[in-house]
Amino acid sequence: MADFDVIVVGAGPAGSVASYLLAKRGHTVLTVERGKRPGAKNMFGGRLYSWSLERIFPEFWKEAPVEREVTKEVLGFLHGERGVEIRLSTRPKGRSFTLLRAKFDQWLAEKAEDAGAEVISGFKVERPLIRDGRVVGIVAEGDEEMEAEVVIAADGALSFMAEKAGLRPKLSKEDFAVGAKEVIELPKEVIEDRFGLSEDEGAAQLYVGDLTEGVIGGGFIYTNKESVSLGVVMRIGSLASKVSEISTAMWEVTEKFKSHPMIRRYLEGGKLVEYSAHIIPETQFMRGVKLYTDGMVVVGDAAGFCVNYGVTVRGMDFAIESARAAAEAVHHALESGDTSARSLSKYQEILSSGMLREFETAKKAVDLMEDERLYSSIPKIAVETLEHLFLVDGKPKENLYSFLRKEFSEEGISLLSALLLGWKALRSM
Amino acid sequence: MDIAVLVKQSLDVQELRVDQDTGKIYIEDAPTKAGDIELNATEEAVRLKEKLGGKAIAIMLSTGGASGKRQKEAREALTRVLAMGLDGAVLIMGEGAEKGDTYVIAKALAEEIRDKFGLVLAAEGSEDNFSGLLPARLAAELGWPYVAYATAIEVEGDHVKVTRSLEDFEEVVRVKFPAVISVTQEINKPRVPKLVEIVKAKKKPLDQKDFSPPVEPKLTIRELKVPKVERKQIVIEGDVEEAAEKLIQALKEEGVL
Repeated sequence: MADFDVIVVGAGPAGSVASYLLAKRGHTVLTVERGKRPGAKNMFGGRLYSWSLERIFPEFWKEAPVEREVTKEVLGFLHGERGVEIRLSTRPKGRSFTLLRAKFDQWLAEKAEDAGAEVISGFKVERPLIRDGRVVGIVAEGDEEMEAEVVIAADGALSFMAEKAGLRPKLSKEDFAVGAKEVIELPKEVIEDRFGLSEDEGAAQLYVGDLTEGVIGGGFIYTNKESVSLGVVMRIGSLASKVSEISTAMWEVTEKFKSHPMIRRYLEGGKLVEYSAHIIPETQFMRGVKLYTDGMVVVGDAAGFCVNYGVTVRGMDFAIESARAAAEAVHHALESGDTSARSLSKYQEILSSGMLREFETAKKAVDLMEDERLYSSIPKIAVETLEHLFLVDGKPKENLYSFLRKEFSEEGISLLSALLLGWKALRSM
Repeated sequence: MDIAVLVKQSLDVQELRVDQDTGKIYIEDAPTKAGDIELNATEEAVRLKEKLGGKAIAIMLSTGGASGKRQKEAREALTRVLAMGLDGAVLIMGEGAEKGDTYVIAKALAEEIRDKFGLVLAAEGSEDNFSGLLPARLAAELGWPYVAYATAIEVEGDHVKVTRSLEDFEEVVRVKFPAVISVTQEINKPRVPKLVEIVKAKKKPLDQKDFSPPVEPKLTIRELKVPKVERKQIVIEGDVEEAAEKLIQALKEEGVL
């Protein structure tokens, strides 16, 4: 007889949702979190798309500690001191919210606790407990063994659980991005004024340009109630390949981003209250992570469910959806008394008819996002083309076609390959 | 004979946020925990309880107010000491407790302890304030002897032998039960509970009681502020000889030299 029906490793969004759903269905659940408390060591840019959590807690935003509902989407191109911002004002059907993980993850973990899960924080799980080739529990710090019918690995981007259970291939630097983030406190009214928001409305702003010196990545700003979350994400593989050419260290890029004239005006008078950095899985799922084995399933970032579509960056909504599917499969496995890989494959089946279909289009987007021209040439051309359009200096003006031809050839892009890039973008988004 | 271990709901000072401009301390935002030296007191209680043949119980009188957040944190702190091997816990919590000074707290604790315990173990000072006043005040309320700064405790029949660490020397004293003893961090190495012990600790008896102040506090805190250090921001220029002379002059004017 195992100590618990289910042991969940990690009390992030995926771990807490899985714990909640399984505890609610009467299974005994132990959730072990390494951080001092849930949310203490977690990080994300700032926005949750609500669709997946809504299936579990309808209208959760009325109760959960969310910050603002995103109604302003900004895409920005930065070049030198100049910049272009494209601003969309919207009330989309698919709602999204900015939030701060320290508060939000605690709320979710409390939901799991209230449903009957034992949530223990400040405790490290070393590896899965494997007997006769099947996962039968966990080994916690101090070599303590604890058994479970099923283990759910929700231990985040670097998932040692998945690795040690042989569920993920050796990962390379190409699979990860690194993110640095600051939380800057500003009065509520100042935020609403500067970002053009009414009360409870929020902005999500993504930027690309020469601040990353050609490295794949960019900057982001999300508005919270009384602070903004701001930072820079850069792909590690791309960063490593350019390390000899770039003049700015990763940690200085955030400073550079903050001091850009267009960004600076959002932040003036703000107070830095939090600084963090984290690794982000960017393409892992597509590189053959297995989602289940005998006695164990992998959810959330641990399974690499994180996609950068360029204009939208997603992870937490996928984490929650994968946890829901995993909980469903684990529940059936426990009911049937068969927790083998065959039985747990229901997890992948559920995902296949929904979320994983999205990953098919994501593959194209991810390919497109790996085109380094998007991070150097395109922002420059966007800024200079608009500058050209708005220029009045009393001299005859070159027509737009020949101006663009010159711009593209300066960047070493033929018009044909520019068209191809545009076509690729249209097909992948 | 049963042992009471005093556990304070201390602010986690490492996570205390301060407004540099106004000196304001964000007390409400800071998480709380059991103090480190209280873990030493707990360890000592677990060790001694077998010899004394009774139970060891944690007693927490929370001065964190009565919010849900503080209540949850208080229970977590108690789970931690229960997991180390204590048999149960008493949590006294309620509105008004946050205004209590050590006089009020000692009175309230004395009522809880008087007829039930033969030995009280406490930390030499709390994690956040470290005034070290409470154990002495409690002993006075109870009318029991008080031994401070224990680095070793041995049970010898109806009394204990306590080694006290003082500035320049050690003192060994014998004291009869009932008594109050405060311990230092050197007394032992607190055990780190296992996962299974934490799981079991959540099922141990935790008796929550409402706090009602037995007396009015003698001391009230009006404001808590971080002292502000203003820099003069004087730059002295010139060659080394000249600048040094000016620097010495400036330091003399400030009364530093």
